[in-house]
Amino acid sequence: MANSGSVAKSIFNAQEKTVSERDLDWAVVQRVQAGNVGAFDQLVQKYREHIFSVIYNMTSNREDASDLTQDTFIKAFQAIGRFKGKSSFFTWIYRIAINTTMTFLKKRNRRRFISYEKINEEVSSSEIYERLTAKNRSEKGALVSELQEKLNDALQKLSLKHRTVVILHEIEGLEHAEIAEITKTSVGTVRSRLHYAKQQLQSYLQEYIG
Amino acid sequence: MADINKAQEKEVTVEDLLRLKRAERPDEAFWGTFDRELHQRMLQSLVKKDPWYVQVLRGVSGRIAQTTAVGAAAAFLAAVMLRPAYVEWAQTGTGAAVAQQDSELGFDGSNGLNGSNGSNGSVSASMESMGDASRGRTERAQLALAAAQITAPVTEVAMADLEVVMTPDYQIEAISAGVDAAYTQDFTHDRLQVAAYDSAAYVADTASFAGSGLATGLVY
Repeated sequence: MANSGSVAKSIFNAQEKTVSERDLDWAVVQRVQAGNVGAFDQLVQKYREHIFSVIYNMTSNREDASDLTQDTFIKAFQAIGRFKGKSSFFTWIYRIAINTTMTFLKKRNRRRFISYEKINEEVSSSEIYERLTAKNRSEKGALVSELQEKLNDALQKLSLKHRTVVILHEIEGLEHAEIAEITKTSVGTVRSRLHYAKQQLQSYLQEYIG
Repeated sequence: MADINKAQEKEVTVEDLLRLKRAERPDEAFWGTFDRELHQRMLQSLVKKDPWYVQVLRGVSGRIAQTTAVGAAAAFLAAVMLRPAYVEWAQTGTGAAVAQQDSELGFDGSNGLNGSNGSNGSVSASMESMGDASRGRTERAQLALAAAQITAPVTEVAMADLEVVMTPDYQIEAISAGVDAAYTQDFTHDRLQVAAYDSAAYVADTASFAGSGLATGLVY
């Protein structure tokens, strides 16, 4: 009972935090709309890494991800005058990023150029890598780069819709409802896409799982 | 050793593997370049002109909007000014007579001047002669022409009647410059402004002010 109470409290805190974040962003947006163009930098600094991460994981190419992240912010900057605050800025900018990336990937079609980001060393010494190294009896450095390649390959095999949902939920840590708002679908659709995508990934990454 | 065995016992899930992707983040140097490029592109986007096709499209859509607006205004004015006259004309029964006559003759209404109450007799006479189904198409056409000729003088009488019945409830104001018409000119300028300026202190944005030391303007 105490556990459910603490869970409810944490959900409440999360909602409260989200509301205050939304208000803060809205205040900055209003300043930009009033002509303080420099205030837009605050929004860039706040969201650039999240946006980059989503786009990078969708494209598996750091140069494309950099360009598309810039495109996203430029589009947002050009359209910010029309932003009415009906949704949060966070949802809005994520939606621009995903639409921009999807358009790019559809145009790019079958051509695939891959260039990966370096993996943070702290993470490469994490518990999961320890377990994988022990399980596969392989050298850690080789395993890290091999797994990175396999993970990116597996993600690229997913359809754009399924990839988006997996990235937003499992990598970015967004809630189902937030993803539903960003992708303009229902929570049920998000859950079903997530379930299917995980099944697919499980089959692609079988050798590392279990 | 015990820790390694314990770690081995735990199963690795898809979620665990995907969480590793969070570690693929660019370094600070990347963000420095990113910010610089983004600022440049944002500034370019502020001063960048639209491509030629967007400009053309905007011009065309502006023209279409103007034309539509003018057309709609003209249609509205026509409806407001002509409809009362038409309603009154229709109420006299003339319109109904014309319609009946046209349908009897098999006309499509193109010779709309041939209708009046007084023409009914002659028209029905000709209609009776047209009633015979055995007549050929040419003969019927000749008869129709004859009927039209017969009704022509009667039409003049009917028009005279119409003048009595129809009283126009609108007026058209004609405005023409240079003629002693009965209208007042309400669009004259109130005053003529003459301003001198110091060319050293004044920064001219347009070519029209560039070479002159005197600026004039009509104030309405």
